[in-house]
Amino acid sequence: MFKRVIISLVILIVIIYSITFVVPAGKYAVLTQFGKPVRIIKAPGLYFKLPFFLQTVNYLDAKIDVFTTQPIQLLLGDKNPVILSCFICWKIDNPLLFLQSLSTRVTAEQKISDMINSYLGSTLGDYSIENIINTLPENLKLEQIESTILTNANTKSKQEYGIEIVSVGIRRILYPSIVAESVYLRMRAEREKEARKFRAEGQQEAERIRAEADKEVSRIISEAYKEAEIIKGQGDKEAFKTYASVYAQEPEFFEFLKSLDTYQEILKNKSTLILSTRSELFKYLSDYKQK
Amino acid sequence: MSHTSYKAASMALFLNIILTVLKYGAYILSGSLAILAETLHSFSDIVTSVGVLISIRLRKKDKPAKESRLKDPECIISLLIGLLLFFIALNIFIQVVKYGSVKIDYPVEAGILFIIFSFGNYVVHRFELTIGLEESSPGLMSDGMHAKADMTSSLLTGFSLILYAAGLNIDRFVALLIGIFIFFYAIETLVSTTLYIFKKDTKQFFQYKTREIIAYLSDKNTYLNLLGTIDKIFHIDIESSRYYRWFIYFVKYVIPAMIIISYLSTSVYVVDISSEAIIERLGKPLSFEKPVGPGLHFKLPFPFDKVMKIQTKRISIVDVGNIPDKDAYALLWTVKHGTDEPFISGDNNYFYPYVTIHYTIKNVYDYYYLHRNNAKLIDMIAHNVFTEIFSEKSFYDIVTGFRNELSSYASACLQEKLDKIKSGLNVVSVNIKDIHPPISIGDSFEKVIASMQEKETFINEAYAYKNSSLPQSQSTAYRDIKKAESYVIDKTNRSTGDTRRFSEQIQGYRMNRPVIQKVIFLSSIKDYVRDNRKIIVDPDAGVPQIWLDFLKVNKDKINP
Repeated sequence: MFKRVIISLVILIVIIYSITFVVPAGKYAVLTQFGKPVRIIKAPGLYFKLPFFLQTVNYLDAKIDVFTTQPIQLLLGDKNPVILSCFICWKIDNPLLFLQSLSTRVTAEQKISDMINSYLGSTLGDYSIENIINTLPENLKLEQIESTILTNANTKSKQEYGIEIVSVGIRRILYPSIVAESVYLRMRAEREKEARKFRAEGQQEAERIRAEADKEVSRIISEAYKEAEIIKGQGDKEAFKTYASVYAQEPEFFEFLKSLDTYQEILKNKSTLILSTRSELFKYLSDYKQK
Repeated sequence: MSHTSYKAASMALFLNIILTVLKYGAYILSGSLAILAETLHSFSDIVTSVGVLISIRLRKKDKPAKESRLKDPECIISLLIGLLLFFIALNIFIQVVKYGSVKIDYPVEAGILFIIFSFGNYVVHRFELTIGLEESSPGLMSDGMHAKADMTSSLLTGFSLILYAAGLNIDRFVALLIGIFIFFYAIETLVSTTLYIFKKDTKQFFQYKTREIIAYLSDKNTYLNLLGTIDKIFHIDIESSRYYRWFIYFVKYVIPAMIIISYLSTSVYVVDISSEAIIERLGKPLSFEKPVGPGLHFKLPFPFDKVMKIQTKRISIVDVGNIPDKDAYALLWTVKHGTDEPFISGDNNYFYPYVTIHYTIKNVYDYYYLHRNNAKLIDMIAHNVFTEIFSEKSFYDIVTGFRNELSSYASACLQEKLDKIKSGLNVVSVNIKDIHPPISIGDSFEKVIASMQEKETFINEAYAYKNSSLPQSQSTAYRDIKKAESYVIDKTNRSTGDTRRFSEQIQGYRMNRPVIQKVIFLSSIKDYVRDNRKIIVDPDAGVPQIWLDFLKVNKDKINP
């Protein structure tokens, strides 16, 4: 009895399993009967089908997927080469068409990648490097390029592959290696130019500061000299006044004393004197000799 | 006898290696999960056979009857085989859950191959079991049981592959069944070996099937015996207890109750503190607006409701540009310290940004139902955002002035794009860890910075000169003025002194002018000429010799 119940239960489960299927949210299902599509289900829920191999359920993901295209070297309208890679967000729009034309997501991504790279090449021919890389935002056209590629690619992908391309964006921009080397050399030269400019500016500024300092020093010293000389002159004037007021009383005596002072100065430093015996100083010496 | 067992085990090992290699080849060709499970199973066979071989080698020829079977290497190997089977079964369960449905290539060819393999497994099973019983070798017998498990699973795999070709995909189901079978054999091997060790009866070996083990556990006599043993050891009269009677009455319901409870437990779930959950009833979400928050919750049991727990509050990270090496000593411009992904600035300079973005999930429905790979999505969009931002800024703006704004600006742009595509993600922060120029020209940038320092040095040195020369000149000026002032004082005092003295002298001079003048002259002149060389010439004595001998007279002056 127990065995019968178990076997019946197993058979019941197998039958229910074979005639029902669940389409979860975020999935599409295409029901095929010996390869022929009989139903496309986009809404989630429990559904019924013919048992076992009579009808097969093909599940497809309805979610948005994202992938990166292979980096591709392209020539812009101004003959500048760039390497670009894009990211693409896409989802299945028509499950049956997708299943028939592409079948798997890997194949789908290959096809989309081919298509996007093709549109990228044709679109970028209308733009220059100034529209891709520029410090003036009004000249940049990246969003316009992305929008053009999206519009062009979407029309074809919906009709031919059952795919909706939700978003296209440029992931990376690079120069080819030989151009990159030139960029490096230019960057190095620019840095050298900047370095020299800074040094020269430093020297120029330093010279200016020194020159101003020297000028200021000269001014201070000369002004001090001027002031000192004036002070000295005033001192001299006062002294001369004093001398003049007193020495005028006895000019002859003053002259005599000053002459003596002058002699004193002249006869310094062991100078040799040649004196005549006939001089006033040796007058008495001469007299004695005569006696 | 041992020699026969050894040969049988060697043969089984050889067959198992061939079968495993063939099955692995079939898995590579077809990609079937059932074949993968079966290959893992066969791999465990090889390990088992090696174990049996070792145990027979170690077996003592004259084994004392009373020796404990716990020390018998075959029993230990047998227990290890049981454990290995248990873990293989566990691994298969994980594989089934992890992979989901897969596409199978060459299903018919693989199916026929596996039906042939099952016949080979049956031969190994009979061969090992017969010799194992004859030789009383528990290792060989457990290996034989293992081969039987192989046979069953190979047969199941073969039929599942043929059914797949006919349109019925039961690949995962069969893989699960193989896992369950292996699990049962693991239990049987472990229980039988344990009983063999304690009951010491070779005939009882492997007589316990899974259903018998379950029945044994459900039998109240099992517990009566257990309690009797406890009574004997601890002298406790449990049998008279009221609780004991209740336990004996309900024990037969224990196993069914456990099965029911296990099933009902699928309707209980817990959402942890950092997560939110979505409930799908037969594939349809119960709500598209309000996810289930943290706590204990209930749902319909399997297979009606399915719960998806998503860690919405946990911060995830995505790196844009470059990732620094973990063992990098310091992030220097002249030393490579991370990956090598350059960006181009608006002024055509290459540089290497290191950006880490922190994000959480703000809308679990958009996150789960609208996008397949959200981590990749934010990575792509973040790269796009930074490429666009960098392409319109000069390098020095990016590394200096704009750097403060860069984080908030990039964060806003990234959030806008993520919202536009309904990613369900929330950008918490954009962290600019490092931005450096190409390593090969890093020194040029450092030279610029060094030259800026040199510029400052030149200017500072000039200021130092100015700062020292101005006070010096001011002090010189001060000194000069003070000298002049002292000159004036000197002059004034001297003139006053001189004139006062002169006034006094006049008064004496006026008394007798010639005499005083003579006195002053003579007293002064002797002092003035005291130290001078003096030559006195008498004009009356003719031409003085001195003119002829001038050099001789003045030799001390000419040659001092």
